[in-house]
Amino acid sequence: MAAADSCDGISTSGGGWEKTVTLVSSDDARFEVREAAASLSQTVRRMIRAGGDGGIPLPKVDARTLSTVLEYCNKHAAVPAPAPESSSAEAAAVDLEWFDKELMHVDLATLCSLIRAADYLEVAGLLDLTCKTVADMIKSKTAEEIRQMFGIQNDFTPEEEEQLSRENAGVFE
Amino acid sequence: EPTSLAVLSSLRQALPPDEFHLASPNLALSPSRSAILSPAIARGGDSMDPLPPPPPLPDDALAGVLRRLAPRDLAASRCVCRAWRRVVDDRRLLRADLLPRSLGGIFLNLHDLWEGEAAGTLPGMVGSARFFYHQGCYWRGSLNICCSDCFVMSITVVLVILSFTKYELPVSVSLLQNITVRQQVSTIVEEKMGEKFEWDSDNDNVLEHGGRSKDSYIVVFLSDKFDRVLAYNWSSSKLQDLGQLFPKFYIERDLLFQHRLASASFPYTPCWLGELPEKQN
Repeated sequence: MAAADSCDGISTSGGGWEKTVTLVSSDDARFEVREAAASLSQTVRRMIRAGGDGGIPLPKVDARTLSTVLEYCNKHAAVPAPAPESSSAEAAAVDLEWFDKELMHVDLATLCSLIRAADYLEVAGLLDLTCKTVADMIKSKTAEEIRQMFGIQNDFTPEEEEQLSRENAGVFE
Repeated sequence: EPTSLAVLSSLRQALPPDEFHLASPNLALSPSRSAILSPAIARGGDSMDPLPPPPPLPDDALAGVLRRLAPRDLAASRCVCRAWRRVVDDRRLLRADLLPRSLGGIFLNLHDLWEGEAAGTLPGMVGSARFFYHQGCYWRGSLNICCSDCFVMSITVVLVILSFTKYELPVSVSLLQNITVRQQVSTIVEEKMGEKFEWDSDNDNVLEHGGRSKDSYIVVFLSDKFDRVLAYNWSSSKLQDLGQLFPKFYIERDLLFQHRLASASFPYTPCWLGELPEKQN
């Protein structure tokens, strides 16, 4: 099969044989990951199908960020198929929720790197989680507070400022 | 710019009844909030140095964050910088009609509830039938009612829940706290006529948002049983003698009224001066 070239390892996990793939970060760190976990990234899944030598290069993601993304993927790929009525499925969902919450206990810069990576790698669940986390941080803040958070310069002209305050009349009172 | 009534109806659609508060204090920013939301300490991070600014997000990723915000937060985000405004505008993320604007005022006519282009201005009330019997306007926390027999009444309203359907009378106006002031015009005249003051005619748009002092004009035109027309500035409690004038719209409405005394009080703003020709008798 075409994917064989990039599937450069076979390992035992939970008693079964599982295919792994090697992902290479922008700073040349190599991560060996179960294919099931790596395939949560639609980008990686396409690259596995396309095949390739010596691991899958991910030039837009650094090692630190990639390790967090893979932490997420490993955890979420390990979740068994949902059996809605069973108590174990419920427990697994609670566990996953805690895991996600813990994973998001990072600074804003890290979160933004994760958003970029999740966007590039197309990991839908992680993109949703990180965007929601950053949105929660923006919530209830003023424009100036948001600028400070993100280190953004106010580049509006006084005329534009006036226009904005007209458009927002009564909103922030 | 949406009229107050249009804002009111969009608010009513957007919010469940118990969240429909006028000038809701929930909208105010709490200063402690920023402390709670300061960036979390990096996992494993041991540095107390200020964190470096995060890398800028590509537009699509930024849109992914912003589309999860409520309209009010989205409006704030739109004011951050041009790039953010562009992301919000290009993708039409902000539904301005859902913005929880604070309510400047609701103008009611107790016989007719009117709305439309002119809604929200005192002169607009003239367009409504029987306008000159009873009028009321909600403005900055009080419901001001101007009645036909020469008195004005102000009710301070902390929370108003208005439930009405279009073109029907207000069904319920609940007053959680009210203070009623009732003053006969004759006593006002005695007390106030000594004071001379001028309208600031550049400054008489009572409904303009922002930039104006909180005690904007509420002008109530009192009916004239004294052979002259008096205007009462509600916020300053001052009277102005406009002289022997006659409201033009009386003439248009009813020829029998022509050039006789004004029979009832009606709302007035100084921009109406052209509408008040001199009496001919």
